[in-house]
Amino acid sequence: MRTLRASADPGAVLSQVRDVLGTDGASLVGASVTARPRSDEETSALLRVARERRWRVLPLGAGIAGWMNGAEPDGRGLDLVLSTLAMSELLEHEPADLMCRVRAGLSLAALQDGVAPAGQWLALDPPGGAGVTVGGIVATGTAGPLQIQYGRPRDQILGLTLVDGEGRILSLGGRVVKNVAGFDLVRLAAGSGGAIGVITEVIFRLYPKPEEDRTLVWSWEKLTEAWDAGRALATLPLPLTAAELIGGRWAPPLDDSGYRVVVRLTGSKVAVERMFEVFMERIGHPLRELKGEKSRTAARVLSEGDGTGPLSFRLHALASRGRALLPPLASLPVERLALHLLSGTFRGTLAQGGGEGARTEAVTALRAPLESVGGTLRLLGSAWGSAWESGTPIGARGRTPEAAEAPTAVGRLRSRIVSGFDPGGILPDAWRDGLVEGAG
Amino acid sequence: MTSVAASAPPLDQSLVRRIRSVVGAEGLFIDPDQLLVYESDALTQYRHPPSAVVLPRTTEEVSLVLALLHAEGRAFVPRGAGTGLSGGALAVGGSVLVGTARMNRILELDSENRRARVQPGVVNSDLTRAALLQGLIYAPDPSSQSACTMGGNVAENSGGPHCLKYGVTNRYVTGLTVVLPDGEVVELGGLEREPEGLDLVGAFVGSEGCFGIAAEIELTLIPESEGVRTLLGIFDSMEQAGRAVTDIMARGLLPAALEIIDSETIRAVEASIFAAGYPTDAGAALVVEVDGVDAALDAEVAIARACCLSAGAREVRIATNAEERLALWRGRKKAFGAMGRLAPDLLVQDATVPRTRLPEVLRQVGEIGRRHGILVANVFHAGDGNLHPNLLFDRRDPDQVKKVEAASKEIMEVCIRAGGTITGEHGVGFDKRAHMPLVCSHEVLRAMARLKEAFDPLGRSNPGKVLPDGYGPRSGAGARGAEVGRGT
Ligand SMILES: Cc1cc2nc3c(=O)[nH]c(=O)nc-3n(C[C@H](O)[C@H](O)[C@H](O)COP(=O)(O)OP(=O)(O)OC[C@H]3O[C@@H](n4cnc5c(N)ncnc54)[C@H](O)[C@@H]3O)c2cc1C
Repeated sequence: MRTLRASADPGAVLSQVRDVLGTDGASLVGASVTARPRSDEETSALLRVARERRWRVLPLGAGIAGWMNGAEPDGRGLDLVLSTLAMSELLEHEPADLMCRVRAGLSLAALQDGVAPAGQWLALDPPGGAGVTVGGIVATGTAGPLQIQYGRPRDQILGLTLVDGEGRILSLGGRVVKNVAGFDLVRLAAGSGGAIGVITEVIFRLYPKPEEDRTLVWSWEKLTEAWDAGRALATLPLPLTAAELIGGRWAPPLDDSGYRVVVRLTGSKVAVERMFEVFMERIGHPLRELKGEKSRTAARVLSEGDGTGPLSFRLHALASRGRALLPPLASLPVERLALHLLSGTFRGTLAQGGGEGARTEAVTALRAPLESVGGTLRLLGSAWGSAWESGTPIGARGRTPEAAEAPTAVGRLRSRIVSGFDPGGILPDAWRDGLVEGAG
Repeated sequence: MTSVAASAPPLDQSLVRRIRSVVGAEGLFIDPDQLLVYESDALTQYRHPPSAVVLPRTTEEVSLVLALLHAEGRAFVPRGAGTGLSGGALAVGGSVLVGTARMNRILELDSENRRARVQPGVVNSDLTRAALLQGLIYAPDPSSQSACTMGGNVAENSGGPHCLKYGVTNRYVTGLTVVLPDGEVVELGGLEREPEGLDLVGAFVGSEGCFGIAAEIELTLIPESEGVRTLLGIFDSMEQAGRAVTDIMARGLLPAALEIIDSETIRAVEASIFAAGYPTDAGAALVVEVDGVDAALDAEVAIARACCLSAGAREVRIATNAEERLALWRGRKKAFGAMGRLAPDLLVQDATVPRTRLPEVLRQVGEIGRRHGILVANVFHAGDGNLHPNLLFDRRDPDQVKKVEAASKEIMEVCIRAGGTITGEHGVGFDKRAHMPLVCSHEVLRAMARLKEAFDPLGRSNPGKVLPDGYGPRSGAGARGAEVGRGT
């Protein structure tokens, strides 16, 4: 059912987009046109034209995770990139209400800089680092090490504005932490990957910056040893801020050798000191302590080096079953490896140069153990396109064309939802997976 | 307010037989006297008896029952414990009520992965009690936790006093087995899979029974805190208590709970069997609870105490043991019960405002009550800005009913003007659906209707709830079929 639409002529697209946004509002980048609307109204007008002309549109922020939607680096396969980068203002920051309102094209770094003077922060550290945009974080819904304490992006959003595939401007949620007025379209939009619309604005909940920030690092020769010690630490009944196991090449201050368990503790001085003592009591193994700015740098390194390069992959299994995946992981030519010790999500980047052979090797080595623990494997990065492999059927959550061809009950439900917001099939889920009938 | 919509006819004999063959004789009630028990939820001024009550035991039974109802074109309403405060479980129009009372098994407690899998009829506090044996808790703690069910919590996206620090239900629901209104079973999410693509679990949580029935629920548990400290600030005025709340948050503390009890409520509690020893001439009381690493808590208590005193507290009591802690909480926890003494009926409003606007909004709420001659007692989640003005009245007096309705609407409007919303945790249900246009544009309501339609194309799951008239499946505004030109 995956229907390929003929590409529109880029020259024609460019002039039609310029009719809406003016000459500055669009340019030809690679094989496709990039449009940069400046407001909800312009975004809406643009999507209405796209809908009329049946373009394939890819909403994009900094472009760091564009491959997730099957975009080719040169822009082939789509008609219009809708960039949010011309909408990047920090509109409002209310320190006393621990809240800020920002446009989707703002980078995470700029947001953090904006709220830092009030001693506050947005408690998110998605893969890709500080250059990612707010819209990208919310649309991909990805979370980094901080998720064990603060949850995923969806947990930090009070409200957002979505312009759907019909160009309808939907202002969802609000500015208060608790809100159950109607069905939760905010959660539907967060993590939707552009399937139901373009996110143009987000209202976030902020947190006060912790008084103390400390990272502890233990190293082991063997992956299984590090895993066992790490799991024992991570499951102590303490409010940890992050608990990761890393291997391979990482930037300083995480450039130790071997497999490292990295635990981040934040909070008041007394609380952090007490947690530190508990750790000292529990393990005799030597540890390295990073405090203050060093600890924050370590946190940045952890999220930035995290599975976004070419040839990276993500495994997911229940944390308790993760041990079975270690032997194959240890034997792969992995350049960088990071395992969330509590959530069971493992990310890795294969050594460059391995190419297609490395991919085949990785998939072969991981398939059997993944099947035995019922986990999933996702291959990421532009060199691979965006392919799914899995031990268990991922059903319609997968993004392979096959998943769309044999829809499960969930797949049908998902496609009913998507077509309600994108009846013309102009947004990524529709044109990539052929989700919307007649969109070809 | 006691309007009774046209009721659906009783089930015909063959449908009764077929449902009975699925759920057994004890699983189906059709006797009008038995149905009366289910005519309302905890918002008692609305009453709509169902045309039948079905109590399935398993996901499969739920699926078979819904398929039978679907084939007969009958609407249904899911129901947990019936403690809802927005009329969500009302069988408007004589829907068939599908209750989860017999689906009360904890299916799995997996301490290694800190998760639980439960049937929807499991009572909130039973889950926490079971989890505590492994040092874990289920964090959201509605004040009704000893009665309300996990299915109801999921459907309402319930909160509770400790949600200030820990977040509400949707933070903890990781997977759902949902029976769609035509009987089809779908598995949504689950910790074994990587979260990816549309968050259907997130979309279902808070759907108030309108998207089908949650038949199994996977939840995240968290470790019990090492320590906890509770203190109570006594203030001459509500303004002072509100200021203390803002100060505490501004100092960078994130208490587990920050709850305010106003003077009316204090007096009601002290005059009841629940008397907690609060001074009856106080203007407001503030319960502050901090938890976490034990060694750090005394310092936090000191900060909270200082904030209370500098905001004008005349007295700050600090609990030194579990018993004293419970005593400090008693005034908060028994507030609803105690109000029963003041009037036969009570309507709890549930609007939420940005925390900093609390003092002025509370002042206006007081004025609205006085203007309409309605007694309003406030007890609420101050840290979240989630108000609970309780409007006390007698539903047998039509004049009072009218005043309560007018006052409620004015309170919601005041809260919206302050940047808030009409409901923070109790849901829209039957009660507030007419007020949805106050917070949602026409386009947003239509978008909600489209989401509803994707789950429930024929509008059979809990009709007459959440969306105002004119939105929803089969009504013009929400219909999508015509624009898209394809069936589903
Ligand atoms: C004294 C008191 C204190 C309260 N305190 C709080 C509080 O602190 N915080 C808070 O948030 N709420 C509170 N509530 C409100 C209420 O307890 C919650 O909304 C609770 O979650 C309802 O659970 P229930 O099992 O009683 O659901 P019900 O009232 O039976 O149903 C509520 C809604 O859920 C739907 N539903 C029930 N089960 C399912 C299912 N399995 N699948 C799909 N839909 C379903 C129903 O159709 C209905 O729309 C309080 C109520 C009372 C009476």
